[in-house]
Amino acid sequence: MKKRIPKVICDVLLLVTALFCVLPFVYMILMSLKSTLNAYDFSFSLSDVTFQHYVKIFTTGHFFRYFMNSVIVALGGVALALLCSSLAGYSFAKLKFKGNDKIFLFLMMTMIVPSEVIIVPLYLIIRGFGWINTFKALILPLPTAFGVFIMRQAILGVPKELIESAKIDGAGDVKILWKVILPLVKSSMLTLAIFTFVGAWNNFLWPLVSTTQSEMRTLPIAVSSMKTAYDTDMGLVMAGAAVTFLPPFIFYLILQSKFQEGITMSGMKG
Amino acid sequence: MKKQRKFWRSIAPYGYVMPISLILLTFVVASLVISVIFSFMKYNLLLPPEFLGLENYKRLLTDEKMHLALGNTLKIMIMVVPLQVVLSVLFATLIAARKNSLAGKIAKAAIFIPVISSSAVVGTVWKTMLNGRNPVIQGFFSAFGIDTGMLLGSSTTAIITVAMIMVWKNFGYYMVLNLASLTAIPDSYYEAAKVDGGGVMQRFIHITLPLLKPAIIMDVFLSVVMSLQSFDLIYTMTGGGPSNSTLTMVMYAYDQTFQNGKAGYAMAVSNLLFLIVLSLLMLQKGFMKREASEI
Amino acid sequence: MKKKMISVLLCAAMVSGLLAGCGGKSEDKGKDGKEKISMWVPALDDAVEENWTPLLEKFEKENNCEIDMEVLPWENYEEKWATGAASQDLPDIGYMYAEMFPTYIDSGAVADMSEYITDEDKEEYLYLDHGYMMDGQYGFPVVTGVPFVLYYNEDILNELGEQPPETWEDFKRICEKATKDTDGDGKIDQYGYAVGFNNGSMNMLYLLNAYFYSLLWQSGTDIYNDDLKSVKFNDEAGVEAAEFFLSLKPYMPENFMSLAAEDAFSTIFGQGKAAFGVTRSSSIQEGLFKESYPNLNWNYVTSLKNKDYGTFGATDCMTLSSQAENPELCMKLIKYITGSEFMTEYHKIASGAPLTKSEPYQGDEKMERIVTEDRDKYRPLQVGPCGSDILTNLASELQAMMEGKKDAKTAMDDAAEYGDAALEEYWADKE
Repeated sequence: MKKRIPKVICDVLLLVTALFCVLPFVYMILMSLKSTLNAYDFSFSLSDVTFQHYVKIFTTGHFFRYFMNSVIVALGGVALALLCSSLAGYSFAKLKFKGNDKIFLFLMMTMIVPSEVIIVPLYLIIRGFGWINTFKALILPLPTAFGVFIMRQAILGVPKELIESAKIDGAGDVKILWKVILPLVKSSMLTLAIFTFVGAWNNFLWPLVSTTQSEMRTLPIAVSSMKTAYDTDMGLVMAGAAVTFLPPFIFYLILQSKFQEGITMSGMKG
Repeated sequence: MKKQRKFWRSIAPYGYVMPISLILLTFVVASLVISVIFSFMKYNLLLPPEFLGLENYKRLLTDEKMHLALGNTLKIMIMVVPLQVVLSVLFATLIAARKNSLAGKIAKAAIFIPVISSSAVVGTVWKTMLNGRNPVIQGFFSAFGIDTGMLLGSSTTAIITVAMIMVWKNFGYYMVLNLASLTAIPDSYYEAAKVDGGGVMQRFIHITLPLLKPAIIMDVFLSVVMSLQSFDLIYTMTGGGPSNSTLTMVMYAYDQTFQNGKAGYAMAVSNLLFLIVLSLLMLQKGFMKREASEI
Repeated sequence: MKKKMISVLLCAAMVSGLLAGCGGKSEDKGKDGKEKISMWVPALDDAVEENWTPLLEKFEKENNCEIDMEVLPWENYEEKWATGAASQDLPDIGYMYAEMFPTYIDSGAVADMSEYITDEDKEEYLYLDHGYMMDGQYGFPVVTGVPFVLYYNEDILNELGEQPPETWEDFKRICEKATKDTDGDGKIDQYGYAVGFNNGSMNMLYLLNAYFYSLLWQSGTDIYNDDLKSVKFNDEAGVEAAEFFLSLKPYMPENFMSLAAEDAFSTIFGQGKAAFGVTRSSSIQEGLFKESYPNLNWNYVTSLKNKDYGTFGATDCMTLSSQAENPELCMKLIKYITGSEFMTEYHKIASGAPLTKSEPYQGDEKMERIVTEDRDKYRPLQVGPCGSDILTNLASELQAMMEGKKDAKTAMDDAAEYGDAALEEYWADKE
């Protein structure tokens, strides 16, 4: 009995917080099913539900193309970030080389450069390479030092003995990383994957300035291009928000279930 | 043969670090260098830049609006960082403790939802929720004596409100980071503590916290960096108002670049911000090093 | 150490390469030898691409050219221009609103179109004078005739026994009478003037567009002095305008400082809870309002009168790049787009005021007087240097005034001091 009570309190606290986090999105979905200029026309009644906004978004010109662009950019960014970060993270965490700490700190410093204010210099660089209107321009700048940070932090926690014994078995660095380390830090990799995906997906300003052809558009920009300056239909805005919100959410749910597997498979539990 | 191998062993670490370094050097560091160069120039993006010397930096000293923005940015950091870290640790612990229950699973998914959504969406939705005379939401807040409709309209409450919404949006981010380290703590640790008769608080202080230490350091570092760069959420909620009370440094630099055609000066502003974050990071550096040697 | 040096060298090389000049211009001729024209347009309606393409195809066929149109979201519209400008990647034909012009005119990015405009054009195109600014025809009006007007709730006015207001006194009197508790619970639930003075999501300048330029002009003053070397808005008339706005505070919703302007209109005025509201007019207002505010019985006054009439009516323009390869063809396209044939078709899908003499009015009857008898009551913004900077600052000074932190005179003087300093710096630079 004594044990029960804190558990119940725990659960109630968690559920209340969950509700608090979800409420704005319930609002978003409900609004997206209405056609109105009024942002506060909020009710739980489902009498005047309409799917017209979704129909409009899905049937607009090249919806599929924009959607695929976003998917390519986000997944490309995830792959690139995972590859670069785990290699570098392993190197910083477990290998001895001159300047290890210094290079790491130097890379960390890049994290504190606010992305909004370097957009112009970045544009000049990408343009100098002739990469305007290419996926290169959209994907290559995605990995950040944050990924290295996460991976280094995670790999630091991997016991030395495991690596030593693999070395005795004659495994090279790449094999050690792939076979021994990465399975142990799966949860951090998934975390990094989610953050990169979300960041790439919600990116607005950079894809806008670095592409000038409509076939290179990403989804958020295409959706936003349906929003007129005045007399904006709040329903359409919210439907657009919902459409751009769902893919990262689904990506998160998929990875989260994988994440549970990862823990049990790696045998770190118990 | 052996010698050659040894040589490769010594050079390999640099090879692993190379890809990310190249990316960051070409995109971030080079951009930063360009922005440092421009900060010594008069540059409006349209005309070729002209050399100005230290003029832009001198201006920083006398620009009252910039000082206001600096103050606001620091205020936001002070409000956001502690709350965000405490909440994220608390909920990570709760969820880890209840990870097999339905409530735990729901909470874990739900708390991450704000993180996934874009700041523009969160800003719009919160603004309409706070200002809409909706009985459910108003009722909830008036239980704490808050009239939501007035929050964004006064210079004193607006900044607190946006800071709280930033916490709401981002604590899930840190929670997930903490959870990743927490789930790596074997249950047997807890079982052992239970056998030893440790209470909930004891277990939290003696097992969870020490094991979470690296994650917490990461939380603090990241939330300091991110709160000092706060921009887009505030931009949609108040646009810096009322009367500049929520103007942040990044927002100021952004407006100077794109609205007022003072890109050179804007880059001086952002370089100042860079230096501030850098010095805070240097203070934290001590922590990070010790952590590395501990393991 | 070596690594550090390499990275420093790499950066230096890259920067010098970039500063030395930025690459060649993209090909202006298509593969089949057709002339190419690039054009940027914002989201004028929710499907510009679908709506404009068929109309543009006709022009492409007749002139054997290819139009490369990019539809941009309003969000970050200026940022897109600014980054493009940083490396001369601007389109041949663009779309700008008043606040954007000064920088682009100053740097010579947009061309003066005077030489391409004939006497017939001056006859045909109704609003050409709105595109004349800073001593040149830099803009060719494409969207206009949709000013901010003062809407009123007919039911409330009838109940108070009032006629539509004409002067500031009328307006204030009605506001005062309308602000009251209608259901007897002791709380005010009907307001005089539905104002929202928070500027999130919309540009800060929207606050001036909606509420303040009208008062400024009605009291007989303007933003700049004629030589554009100093500001004018803190003269006696300007302070009077600010004081008048402040004096309306008791008739605004309590949370007007938190509400965004458009939200105040839709949730307070739209729901029948205020006598007056301001928003941009649209020639299909009747249809829009009917759907969203079915119970609202509304009408409008284009402008009140104090010393003068005046309300803000933006005139957005097409621009011609000074880098355009074939300016004659570009001008032909601009005239085609704004001309009667194109616009008559387009305004069927997306409403708008006629731009030319020969284009028929296709909007609601109720709104027609804006473009006929009231045509001289609205005006575009005075275009001058440092516009955005000065006006954004003015808006936040007004916020301070409305919050009660400054009185009207101090707020206007502080804003003027800031504006004059910015202008002084600007002109000192020019010399």
